[in-house]
Amino acid sequence: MILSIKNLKKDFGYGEVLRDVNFEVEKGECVCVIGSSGSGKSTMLRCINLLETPTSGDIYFNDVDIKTINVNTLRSRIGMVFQSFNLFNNMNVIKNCTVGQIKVLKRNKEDAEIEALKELERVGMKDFAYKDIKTLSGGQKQRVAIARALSMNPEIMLFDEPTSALDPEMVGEVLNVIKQVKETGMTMVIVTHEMQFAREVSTRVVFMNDGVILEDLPTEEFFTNPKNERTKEFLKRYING
Amino acid sequence: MLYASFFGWIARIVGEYSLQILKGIGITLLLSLVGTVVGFIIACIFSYIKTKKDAGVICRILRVFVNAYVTVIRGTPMMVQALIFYYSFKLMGINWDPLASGLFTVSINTTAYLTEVLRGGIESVDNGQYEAARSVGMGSFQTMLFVIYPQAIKNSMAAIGNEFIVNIKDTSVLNVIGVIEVYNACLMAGNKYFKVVEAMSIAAIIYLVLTLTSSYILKAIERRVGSPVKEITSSN
Repeated sequence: MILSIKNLKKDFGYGEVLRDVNFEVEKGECVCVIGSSGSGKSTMLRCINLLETPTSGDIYFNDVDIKTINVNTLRSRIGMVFQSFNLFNNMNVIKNCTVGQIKVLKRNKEDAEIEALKELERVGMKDFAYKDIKTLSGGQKQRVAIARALSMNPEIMLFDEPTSALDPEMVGEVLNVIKQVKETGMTMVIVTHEMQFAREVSTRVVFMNDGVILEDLPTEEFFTNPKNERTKEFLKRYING
Repeated sequence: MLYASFFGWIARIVGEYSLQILKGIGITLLLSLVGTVVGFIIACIFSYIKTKKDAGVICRILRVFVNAYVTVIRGTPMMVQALIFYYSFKLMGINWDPLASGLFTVSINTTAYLTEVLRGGIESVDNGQYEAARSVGMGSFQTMLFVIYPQAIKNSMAAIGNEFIVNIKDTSVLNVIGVIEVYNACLMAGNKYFKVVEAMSIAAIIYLVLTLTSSYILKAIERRVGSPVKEITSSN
């Protein structure tokens, strides 16, 4: 099991955002996490690479308790893609993709650039390698952010609403890149509001509501035959809306 | 012929004391430049202590010291500080000359202001930058060094330059410990003939030329470094 979350709780001080979350991901799986805003999807994702410190509960990465792993080592094994891209503003495209390799993985500059260019090519941004971040569109930025995460050769990729900050016409290009990454067999957890995309790309869908996981089913079953009343209600709204 | 005599006296003072006045200009520039550079370097460390996230015990203790330092230095006049440093070191048996003491004072003083400038610069960098850097596995120090500080300094360039210009003028108070910079050099020249207004007019013009030239050069540097890095909200 590459990732296993047990009895995860998170309290920001104004009530519990996560109440007893249990969740597992196997190698090669692509899990989409859906649910309404404030249901704790992003918080759960951010707990996995310790951007948020869990209040209680255990998270295992490759069956090892993450509390026993150096936090920087852990994060270098986990790729993270943010809603707001968060590309390093003081670096050009390729430097965004090499800085982590050089400073964290201690690769030399040449190897790092080869790897970065490979990943930039995969997301269709190789031609922009030496461009300034400011000149890119939102969709291009997000593709570079995906390449930056892939350049670290992570074992798992986390996507935190990767298309929510994009113009509608740019959503497609980013989703296509994510699909492509999935084809390579990368293990992925994707928090998303794109139902159609979730249905196409994922092997499993998790529905979160009010800090707990209400439904955790293989994709087709999730969309055709959900068990929980709240899930049905949520899906109905999406299908009708 | 008041004006004739006014400019006449200025010409005479400048002619007679040109070397001393030039030396004064050199001392003023040295004080401002060293003060700003040293102050900037120490402020980089202090602002790191002030803004470090999940700070440990040692960092928190250092933070108390930095906060006290900034409060005391910013809350007292540089003239008072100069006198305290100059004479207290002498009492401790360190016999330093006024210039060394002046360089020390202006560096100490600039550190306090630039610490606050850089803190503001760091806080103006979007938190997402920090999170992204930590997410690729960079440590707190690496994140600050490679991602946050380059942006924070760029954002603070105007304020840092301003501090240099303020230093050009404010180092005039160092005359109290006997540093012969522009103000003091001109004053001493004028005193010979009891011509304070003429001497101070010379000083004023020199200061004006120095500050205008500096601000012109700083603007050019700012342009070269580029416009401040700011998150553009709609990045599409």
